[in-house]
Amino acid sequence: MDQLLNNPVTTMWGPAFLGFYATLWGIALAWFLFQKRRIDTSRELASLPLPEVVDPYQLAYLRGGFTELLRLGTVELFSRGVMIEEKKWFKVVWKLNESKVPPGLLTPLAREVGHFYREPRKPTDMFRPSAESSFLENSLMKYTDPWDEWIESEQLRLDPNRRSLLTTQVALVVGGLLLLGALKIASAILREHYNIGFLVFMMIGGAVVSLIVCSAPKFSDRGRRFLKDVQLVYGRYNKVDKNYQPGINEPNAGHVNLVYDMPVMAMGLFGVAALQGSALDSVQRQFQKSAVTGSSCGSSWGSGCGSGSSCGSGCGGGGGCGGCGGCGS
Amino acid sequence: MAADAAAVGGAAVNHVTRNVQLAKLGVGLGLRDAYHTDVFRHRREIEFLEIVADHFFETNPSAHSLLSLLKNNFPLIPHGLSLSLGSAEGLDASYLRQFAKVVEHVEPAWWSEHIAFTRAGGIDIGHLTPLPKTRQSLACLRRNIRQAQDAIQRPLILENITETIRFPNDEFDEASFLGQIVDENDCGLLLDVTNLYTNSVNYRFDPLQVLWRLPADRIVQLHFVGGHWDDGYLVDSHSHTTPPEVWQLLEEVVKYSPLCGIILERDEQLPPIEVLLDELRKAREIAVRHGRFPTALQPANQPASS
Repeated sequence: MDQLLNNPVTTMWGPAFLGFYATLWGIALAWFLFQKRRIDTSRELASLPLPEVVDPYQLAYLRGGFTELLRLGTVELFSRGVMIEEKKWFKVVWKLNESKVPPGLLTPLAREVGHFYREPRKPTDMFRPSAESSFLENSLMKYTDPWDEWIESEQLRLDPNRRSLLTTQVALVVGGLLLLGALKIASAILREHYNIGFLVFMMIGGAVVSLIVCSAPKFSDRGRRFLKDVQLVYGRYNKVDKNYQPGINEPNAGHVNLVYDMPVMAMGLFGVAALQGSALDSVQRQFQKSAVTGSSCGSSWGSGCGSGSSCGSGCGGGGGCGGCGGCGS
Repeated sequence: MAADAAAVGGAAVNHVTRNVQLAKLGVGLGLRDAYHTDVFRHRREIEFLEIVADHFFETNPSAHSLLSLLKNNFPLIPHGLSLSLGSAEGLDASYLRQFAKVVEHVEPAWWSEHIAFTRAGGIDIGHLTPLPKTRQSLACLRRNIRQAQDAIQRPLILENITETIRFPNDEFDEASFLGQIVDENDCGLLLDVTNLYTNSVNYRFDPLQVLWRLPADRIVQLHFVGGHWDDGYLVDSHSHTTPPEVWQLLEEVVKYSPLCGIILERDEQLPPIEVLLDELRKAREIAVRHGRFPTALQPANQPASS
């Protein structure tokens, strides 16, 4: 212990140690950035050609994982008028109104999600671990498994193993630097030097900056390019028309033969923010609330945190408990 | 002013504008905002796109991103609206510089402008205005085209416009004027079949007599679309499906010239994309029937399976 507290580094003159310590943080941050770029092997790959027909569910899954898929299925139910919202006092309940629309007019995925609402449920229920939500997740795997293969084979996401390796490396380096700072503080106090404020600030600042810089992006560079391209081409669907009314609408409106309803396309490609100000605004607000109160973050890699609104369309919406910090690498 | 404009395409000036020397692009569409999504969805059926260069002058990132995305998915041909090659006061250096940037980014097989002026005395007219067919106009065009070719070193092709007015002091007829321009300046001809037909109707001449006096090896690309009648005049409004008379004339042009590309140029009363795709198919059938393009479509980039 004595060796740890009394060595040339911890007994270094204060300003000299601060300079040395700042240099170490700088080197560490540069190395983190280098490693972060290195784990993304998709940078050299050509952009993925755009699909001829965009499947909003597939895009939603890419953007936000399983949770975003559930949200989108729910939006389709609302959009088709199959689901309605009921308010009792301060409690909001979503329930099916099956007589409204023949099941044939729903996509198979929305029908699966509809089963979950056979009984009226709170908006947050879907995102809370339960037997029903697990059953729903399992029943949707037949859709998501091929998408997972596609995401992996096209390198649209970062390899989870590489991401976790980066996280471990960062944690070790940051831990080491914090330990060094702590030893210097202990050594200084033992020598009755109490002007440690700047060092403490540097330790906290270095750790926070490292976390921000090193939050591994969810998408690979290629995935980000692909989403950006799709959002660019379908840019005029980034907001649901304010005049849109839920019900059995003709999907082939305008110039584009939309296989899907406008809200499903808009949200699938751009996230729940696309519903803001539309007839489905309350659904969007419930999603935002459920992201806060019903966060599960455990069921699968998609997790229940992201909504798409805060991340902005540029990085493909939200999803993932890691938040949106990883968008700009 | 020419020195202000960025030179594009390397050291050697590329004035190769005879159709046998240029790439065969096939049949495509003039891109309009309303069809941005559709062209990607139907890119198996659209062999190339003509973009209005002016729309991509903005430095905003989304215009630049869209241009890159288009470039990655289609052969593109930049088409200018306001270079005003017929302006006696010369070219707008700023416009030319921005045009050159677009061409530099797109790296097209050729680029195109109109034989017209849109600016006079520093005022933008906002319309393609025909030139008097005189030696003075030829000299003015020669000077401006040289400046444009110096700044943008890719093959330039020039488009005939509809003549809303004709000048009493014309020294040439339409065919010899167009022929002189493209031969003197080593340019290609973007023959707007609809414009030729419209002029022939409004000024009562036989369009075939004009066509057969044009240099066949200079006709690089065609435009076609339908216009509308207004008070006894045919207006080139780009607002209707192509009428049978224009289809007939188009077929005559295809027979006459080994051209490289055909573009449907719809601007008004935009129909669903399927209507335009039908017209592209028909144009393609004509070109294939006369051996101008290969039988199989040549889409630039295969879409990913969804």
